[in-house]
Amino acid sequence: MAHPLLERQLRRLGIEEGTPPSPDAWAKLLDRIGKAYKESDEGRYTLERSMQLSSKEMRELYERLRASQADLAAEHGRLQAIFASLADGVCVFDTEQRCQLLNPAAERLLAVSDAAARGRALGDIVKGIDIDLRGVATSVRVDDARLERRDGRSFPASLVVAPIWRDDVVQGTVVVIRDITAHQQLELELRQAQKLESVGRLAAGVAHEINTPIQFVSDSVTFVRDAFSDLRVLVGKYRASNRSILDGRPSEESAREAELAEETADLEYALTHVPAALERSLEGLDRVATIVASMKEFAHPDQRQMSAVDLNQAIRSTLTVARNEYKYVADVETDLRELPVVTCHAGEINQAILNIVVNASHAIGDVVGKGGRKGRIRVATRRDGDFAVISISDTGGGIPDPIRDKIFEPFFTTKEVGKGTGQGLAIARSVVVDKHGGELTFKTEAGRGTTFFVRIPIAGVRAVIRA
Amino acid sequence: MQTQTMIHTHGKGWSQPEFPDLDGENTLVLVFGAARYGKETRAFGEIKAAYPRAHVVGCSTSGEIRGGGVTDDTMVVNVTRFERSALRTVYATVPSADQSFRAGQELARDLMRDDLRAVLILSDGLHVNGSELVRGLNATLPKTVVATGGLAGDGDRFKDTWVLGRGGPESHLISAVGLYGASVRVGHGSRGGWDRFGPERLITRSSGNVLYELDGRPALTLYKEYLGERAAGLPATALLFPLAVRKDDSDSKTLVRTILAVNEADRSMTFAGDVQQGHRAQFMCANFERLIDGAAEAAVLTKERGGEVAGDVLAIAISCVGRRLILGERTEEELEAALNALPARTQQIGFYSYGEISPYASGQCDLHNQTMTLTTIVET
Repeated sequence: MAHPLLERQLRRLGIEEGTPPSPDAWAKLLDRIGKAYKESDEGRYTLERSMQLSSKEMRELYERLRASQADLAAEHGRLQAIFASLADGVCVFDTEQRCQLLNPAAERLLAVSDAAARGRALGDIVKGIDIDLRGVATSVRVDDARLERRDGRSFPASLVVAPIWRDDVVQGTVVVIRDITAHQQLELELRQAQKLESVGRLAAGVAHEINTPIQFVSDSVTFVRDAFSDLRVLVGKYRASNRSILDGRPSEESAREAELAEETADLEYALTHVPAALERSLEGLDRVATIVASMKEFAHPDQRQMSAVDLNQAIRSTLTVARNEYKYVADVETDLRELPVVTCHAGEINQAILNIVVNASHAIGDVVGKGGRKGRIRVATRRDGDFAVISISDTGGGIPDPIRDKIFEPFFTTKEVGKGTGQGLAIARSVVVDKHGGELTFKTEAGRGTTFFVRIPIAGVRAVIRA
Repeated sequence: MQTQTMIHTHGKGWSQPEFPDLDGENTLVLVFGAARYGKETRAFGEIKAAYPRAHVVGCSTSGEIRGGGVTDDTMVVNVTRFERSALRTVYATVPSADQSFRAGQELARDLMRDDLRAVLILSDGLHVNGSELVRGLNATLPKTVVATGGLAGDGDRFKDTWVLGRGGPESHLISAVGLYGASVRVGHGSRGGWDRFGPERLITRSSGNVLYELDGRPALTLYKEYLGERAAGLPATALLFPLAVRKDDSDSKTLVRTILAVNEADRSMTFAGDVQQGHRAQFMCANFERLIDGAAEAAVLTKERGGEVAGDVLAIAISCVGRRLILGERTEEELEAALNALPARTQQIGFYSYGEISPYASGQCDLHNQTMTLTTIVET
């Protein structure tokens, strides 16, 4: 059977098998066959050249691929080294919430190997992360979790749980765990240092507060000592007179000497005033004891964990140690209503209240000056559902409108140099909001004063921040 | 359905003394003529007079097809009267190419009816963006309606094309005929028959129909490198080397794009149809035998999709001018190959075009370059 091309040409030229073609048809046939060969040659040239160039391109591509594979391997190794070097534990989960990967830090922190963790759910690897990974669409931060490892040991941790986005689709979740044991210790020490700094600042005032009762205790004891000295002479005279009577030779002279000693000792006065002096001494010593106890309570190192606290008592202590800060410019009123024990860091709450009270006294001081007039600080507590609310009002000049949104910023102050560091309200906010999951708000009116409201969850909560 | 074909040769007149007596409201008269008939309209007048009630549509060509032959300076005419099918003709004027999409939508909207089965589109070949026209049609027509047709030609001059309107030949015009009813059956097929060479590449920079970079390399530099000594004939030989374009690896639909021009200054290439950035492209070259086989394959596809028929078949062959320029004196071989693959009682008429419109497989139509596109119409 002939090639279709040849068949077509034979048909078109009218050449039939068995019949010799005309010279013209023969010439045309040869011409067409010649062209067909030429076309075939051109086609072959194109395809062969294409093959050569394609092979060359493929070879070059292969070389580039090999080089980029090496680069990728190097990059992969580098990223793995970085991943392995991270001090924080990193756990990667797929969309089915099954563990895909743990870095060495996570293995150490959670006491579980990468191989053993793979395929497991988060709750099977570590307890204490109450976040449903399926619902994580944005980054979630938990600053004070307590995680329990499979071996039963637990440790404080901060967490970041974040979705892994790729091509606008969540491909899984990454959980970053940081052991904050050392950090918490450091924080405790820092808080203690801040407290001691407050104590130092308050020390002069406290010393003054103690000095006043000590002074009248001293006066009273001196009076008692002097009175006792006279009474001892009088008692000697009484004893001599008494002995002369017992010997059967009563001595009028002895009796007169005793009478004279009575006059000298001003016995009636002593009998009347020594008990009162002793009472005053006891009152003074009681006052000193109260101040010292308050100081001790205020400066007592905080525990790592929140504890049950009598907030009203804590407030009383704080007002006591701060008295010298406000007593010249303000009288303090308290309206401390019955509260259940509140789970909190007492020392930190004390610090926050102290900072607000000191600010209040400064605000009043700015208004009353040194003319002897006094303003008023009112501290009240009440329960509002699951929260304990502390309100601290002053009769200062109020917070000017332009700075109201800045007062909680660290290092923001309107006070003269040396009087304020701008940390007081920032610390108060950090303590109330970040540490206790509470609220710190204020109401202010120009010329009338300001009231700060501290709301603290009675049961204590963990702060969860969605970034 | 009755169908007859005739020819008018410039300077000689009609091939037969009388026009077939087939006039009627459901008669379709297809007229494909040389560009010169756009100015010499006497023959049109005669047709209009002979078929006053019929739907007369047509366009200029780069070669008129009748049966297995191709002629120049002629006008080929087919008259088909349907017995159980209805027709409707609509027109759209396109003042500028950027209105092609809207025109496609309007035409489709004007023709839409529940029993619409197929649409035959004939468009100006120079002032219409064929890709946008097809997009506009597809945006409105349901997938069950077959849309085929082509862009009018003007020999190898690319100067003036016309489409037959209500009053005669016009440029900037698109006509569309709707075929209605359950009795009409339309088959279609489109094939190129080109050799691909070199790796398939990513279009990394393009704008409309201008291609700048493939795989980050200047397109023209790469093309010339692959053509080797055959690049010496560019741009004259550009027709021999079109580009195969498809959306991505999963796209089984490859469109052929003909080179219209090359720009040595910015190493770009301009094609007769959009080449979208992010799509895949592969070089192609003409292979005469395969081009002819391609035409036969198109005919086989058309026959398969049209189903078995016993009566008359109207076959509309629209083939790219590029194929004619490449095939030269062997052009008729592709027409014969196509005709031989179609049913025995087939009347084949058509033209060499500046672009072919046909669904690639089944589904909505596409604009093709460098293909032989066949549409068969039968009435059952």
